[in-house]
Amino acid sequence: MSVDTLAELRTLQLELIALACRWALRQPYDPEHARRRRQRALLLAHDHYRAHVPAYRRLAHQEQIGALDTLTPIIERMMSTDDLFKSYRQQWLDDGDFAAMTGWIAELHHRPLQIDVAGVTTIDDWIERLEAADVRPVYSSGTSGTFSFVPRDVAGLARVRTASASYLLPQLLYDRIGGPLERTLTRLAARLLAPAPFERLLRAISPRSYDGVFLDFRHGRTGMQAIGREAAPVFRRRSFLYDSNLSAATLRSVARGPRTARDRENLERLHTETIVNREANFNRVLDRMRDSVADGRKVFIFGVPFQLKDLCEHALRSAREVRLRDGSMVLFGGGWKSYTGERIPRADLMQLVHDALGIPEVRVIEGYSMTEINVMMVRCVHGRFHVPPIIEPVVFDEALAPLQGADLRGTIGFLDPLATAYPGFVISGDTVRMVDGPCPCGLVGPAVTEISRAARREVKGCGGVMASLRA
Amino acid sequence: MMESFCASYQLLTLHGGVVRVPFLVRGQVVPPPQIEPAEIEAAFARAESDAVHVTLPGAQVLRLPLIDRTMRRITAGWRYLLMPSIRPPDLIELDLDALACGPYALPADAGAVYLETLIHAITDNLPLVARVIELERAISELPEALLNAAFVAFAAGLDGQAARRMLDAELSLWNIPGSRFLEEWVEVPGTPLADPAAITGRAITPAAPAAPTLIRATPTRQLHITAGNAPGIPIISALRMLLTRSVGVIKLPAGAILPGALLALAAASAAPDHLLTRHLSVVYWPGGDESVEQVLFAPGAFDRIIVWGAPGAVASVQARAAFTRTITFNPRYGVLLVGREAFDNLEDVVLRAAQDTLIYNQKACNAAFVHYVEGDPSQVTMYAEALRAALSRWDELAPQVVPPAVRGQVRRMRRGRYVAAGWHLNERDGEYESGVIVVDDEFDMLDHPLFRLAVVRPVTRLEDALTFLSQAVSTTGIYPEERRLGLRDRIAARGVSNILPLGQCERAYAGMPHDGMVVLSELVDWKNG
Repeated sequence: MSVDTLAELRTLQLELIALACRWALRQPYDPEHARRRRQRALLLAHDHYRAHVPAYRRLAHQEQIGALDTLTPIIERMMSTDDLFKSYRQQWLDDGDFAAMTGWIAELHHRPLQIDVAGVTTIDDWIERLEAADVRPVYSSGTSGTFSFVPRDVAGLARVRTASASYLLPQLLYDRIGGPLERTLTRLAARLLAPAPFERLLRAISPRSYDGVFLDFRHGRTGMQAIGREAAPVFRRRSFLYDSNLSAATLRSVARGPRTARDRENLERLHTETIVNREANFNRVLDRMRDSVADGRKVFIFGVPFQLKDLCEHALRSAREVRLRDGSMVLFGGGWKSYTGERIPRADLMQLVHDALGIPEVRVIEGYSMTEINVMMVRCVHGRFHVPPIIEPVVFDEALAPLQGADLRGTIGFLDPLATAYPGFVISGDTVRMVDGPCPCGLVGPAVTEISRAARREVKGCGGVMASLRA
Repeated sequence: MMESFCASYQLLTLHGGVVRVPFLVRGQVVPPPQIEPAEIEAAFARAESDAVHVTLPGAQVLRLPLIDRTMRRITAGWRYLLMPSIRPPDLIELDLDALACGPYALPADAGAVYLETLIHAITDNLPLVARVIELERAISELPEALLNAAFVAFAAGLDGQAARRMLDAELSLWNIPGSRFLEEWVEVPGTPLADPAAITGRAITPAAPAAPTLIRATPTRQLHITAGNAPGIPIISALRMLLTRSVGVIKLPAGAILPGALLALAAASAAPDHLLTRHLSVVYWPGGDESVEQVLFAPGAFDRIIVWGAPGAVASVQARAAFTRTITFNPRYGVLLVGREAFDNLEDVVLRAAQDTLIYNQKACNAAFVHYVEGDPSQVTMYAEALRAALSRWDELAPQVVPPAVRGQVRRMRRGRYVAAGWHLNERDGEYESGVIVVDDEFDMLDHPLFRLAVVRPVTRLEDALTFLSQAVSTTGIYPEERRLGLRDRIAARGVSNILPLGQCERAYAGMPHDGMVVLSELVDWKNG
């Protein structure tokens, strides 16, 4: 793949981001034009992966797929599952074989990786070495403790920031958090500015009136923590539920059990932070919110649903509820994951947030995304998670064949042209209902209306579904 | 008699895509009401698109996808099983004195004789059995050859002589045959221990001759919640209940309703007035149905609840039936340990390994999912390729219908976590049929798609596989024999229930422990008198 082609891909990425901004602001927007530009970008991404990502190149060779002029072969045969990012040997992590881990992650990355792993003994050390080589691995931890590592890079994260500022903030400003003046200014800026300066402008003006509260650890590299880390600096004041680091090694020990004395120490610290000091931590962030109220400032709260629920329940239980200033908002996402036992109906969560923090439902924003993709879909007031025109969603049947239509149910996957550092053609583990067409909120295009985690296969053994077991 | 029941109520025949299925409720055959196929289709049209069960006045209907055996695919068509609705209180035995004077007072041999009666009824009605097999053929995921074999095993499972041996073995104490404990109070040579109250009260309590030490096993009221992976499971459950002259309910699984209905008809036609028939129920309801389970799990409704189920289902039953003794058969799986001696006789070894893999088409808990193979990489590849060829022979011998979801899961695995694994697949028209995956790292059992996929894990020494053995493993098949004998106790210590020679993992016999239990002993109540 030539430099010109990569340059064209980058140009198209910015063009798609700009189109998404117009889409988010309900400005004149041609979906067919966006589709053609997206297709072109995705075909270029396919060429880029074939040329530079060894694992993708091998799959393309196996499937006998070369340069393409249509997406169909990619959708049918080249999309990986999200498990691709956990296709390393657990033994390597158990044994601290980070040379092998580097070799594995290099197979999924678009640049050759030659890092010195001498002296590396933990996942966190290894990640730091990768970061020194401009790789920004983001991980997520499954319930079985099998980490998924996505080898992003610095440029890719910058694109995520640009994309988020360019379509997500306008989308929220349009009908959820902005006033008439902010909307008018945003529309004007969107028309006049390219994505990068538009992003800088919005970042400069929008969140400065907010204090940020992050219901997570101050330091960490999970998908949610990565979002928090990117977003936190733009807030004037910010506080974290856990004012410490959640290391990858500790997180892995939680699911797989401690193997060393150091693991046990880390787990003890984690236990102290999240269990022993849990109420004190809730009290501290509630106190910070009260400070914001006293200073006449709005609060932006970001977290996963179970933490949000726990915070609100604690506030109500301990009579520490707070009436945040009008305009304060919550952004939550990430699902209930291993906390399914705590799941409560959405309406109940909204009521809790209102009762504990004084934030009305309209300002409680729910997002849907995957660690492996570069956009977030926001649920509108009509219950649809709108897919921005940057990425191509695909719904698959149970045999993993793509489905066509305007109202589909199946496993969702995405073709993400913003991903250049790793293969961005990913099938999720989520079962969804996806509809296509105009929404009463004014947005057009595909949107996800129902999301559930795909069942991990059916009955095994005489009795039923097994737990996750390592054999 | 069975046929006349069927003729009177149009049971177990196909009409407009609907099969009318009777239940047995405390000895009474309960047919479903007359409902036209169009009405059933309309009910499903009103339900969620993926609904498999609907209720209609006086009835419930289960919808199962039709299988085209010729094309070896699941079609878009449906088969509807029309069943009566149930009233949970009708299933509960409340008159304990009637039980004590009735079925509990029958001779110990009554259960075995009763089973012989049932098997005669079934063998006297082979055209009906053939019809049920044909109906089952259209909806069962089992390959046809294994389905036929399962019905043969079904008949064999009701063998009276084997049942008597089971009773005598599983309820035996002090070298006394188990049937005696079920028949009467039996004196055993127990020596009472010193009793603190008796020692203390010796000075004031009048002396009395020591009473004999008597033990008796009494029947119980049992609720069996069965699973359908292997169609014989409801039959095994019924056998255990009847053999102990116990009473209660067999809840059929969705995957084995028709064989269960056959059993119900046999009981009602061959021995309608038998006390064991009059206290036997064979029914279905969708698992988790609160309206049914709240009543049946209530304290005092049953003495035993026997659950074959997923951990969540088992936990749910245990939580709701906190005051009833619950016996659980958890999901487990089988593994094989293949020593490097296998390479001296590879073809024979892989054929035995394939047989252990395909127990109930890899749906049974003793079927081998993972083969730990001792050898270098080239030997392991050789084993995988030979095993693939053996599975291919099974594909010809007993062709299976692979559901689309299984093919989707194999694709997911190949394009995801197991992208670097060694894949040795048998395909038909470019689609997965069976195969072997060589995985150098640990394998997550939740990823396994079933349907004839053997996971091969290379190990340097067979002992290296021990770390992966736990209570979750039901069965380990080992080759060669001397290695099995050498490892047997170490494997047992890890919680595995069956440590058997390669090729014999399907082994079952009267009196054999199951999941670490002597099950009949768990089903009766042991009394001191």
